Amino acid sequence: MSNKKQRNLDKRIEKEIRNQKAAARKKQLPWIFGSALVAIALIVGGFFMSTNYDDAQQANAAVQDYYKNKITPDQLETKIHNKEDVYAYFYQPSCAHCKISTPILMPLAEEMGKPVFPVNIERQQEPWDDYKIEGTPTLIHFKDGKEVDRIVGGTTQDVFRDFLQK
Amino acid sequence: MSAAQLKTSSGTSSKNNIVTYLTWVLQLALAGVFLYSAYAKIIDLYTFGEILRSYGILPDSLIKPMAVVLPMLELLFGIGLLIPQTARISAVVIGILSLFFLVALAANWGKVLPFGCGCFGPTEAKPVGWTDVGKDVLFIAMAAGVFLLRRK
Repeated sequence: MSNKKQRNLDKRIEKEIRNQKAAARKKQLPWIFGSALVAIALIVGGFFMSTNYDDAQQANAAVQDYYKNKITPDQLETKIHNKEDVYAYFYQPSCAHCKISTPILMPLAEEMGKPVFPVNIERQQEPWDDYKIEGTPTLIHFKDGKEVDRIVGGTTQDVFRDFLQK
Repeated sequence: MSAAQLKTSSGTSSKNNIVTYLTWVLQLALAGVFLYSAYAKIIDLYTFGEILRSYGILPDSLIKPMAVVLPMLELLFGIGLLIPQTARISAVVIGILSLFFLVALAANWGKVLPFGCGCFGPTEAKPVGWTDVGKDVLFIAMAAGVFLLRRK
């Protein structure tokens, strides 16, 4: 084989190798692009989720203060059984009306020196049935082992004040 | 092609169809479970952090990073399970995640967790039992199934 033919053959082989490499790179492009997109989405998502976590943590710290006297349904039952004069504030952490009512009621109860005990009844069927709760928040006054009165739903500070004064 | 060859070919094809169908069923079921699980955690990340804390196996400094990273992994690899090209690697990660949850549950066997197992957000307080652990064993088996059936 002459030198010229050999050179031409080498060139063709080199060209073929170059084409194959270019085709392989082209094939990888969607994966590289996709991975970059996923990485960016993860970084951005992670940042927002982290901020969301911090906000929730701060909000929760403020809310927890209102529920510092929280008791379980069993503890409430004991109090009723012992004929204590108590107010049970049935609430659910996810309930929008409770989020409005709690900051009104709890400081008021503290100011008036009334024994208001929050009872979390989220995802617990028994208290709903036992105390015939129709919705949250529900504030029930128990005296001598019996229900005296109740407020169903959110309401104003004045209504809560009258209820606690009775 | 002879009649015998045709019969064998048709039998193999039908077997392949069943395997493909089964693989997709597994992938869709597992993806559905993990996408829902990610959603339930992402809508209330802070509570998920508290759920992780209730397991008592992570130091406080890791609660927030894990509360953010775990749902992201579930979301990412839940979607990955729906894409044939990434289903295998997603099945591996989902299997490892389920194994992590399984170990966490086993470490709390019989204890009353305040948010239940918390696999799909907070639930009623109850002791860790066979149902919780069995769920993760099932997910691991399903992930293994996807991994093996997706083998070329």
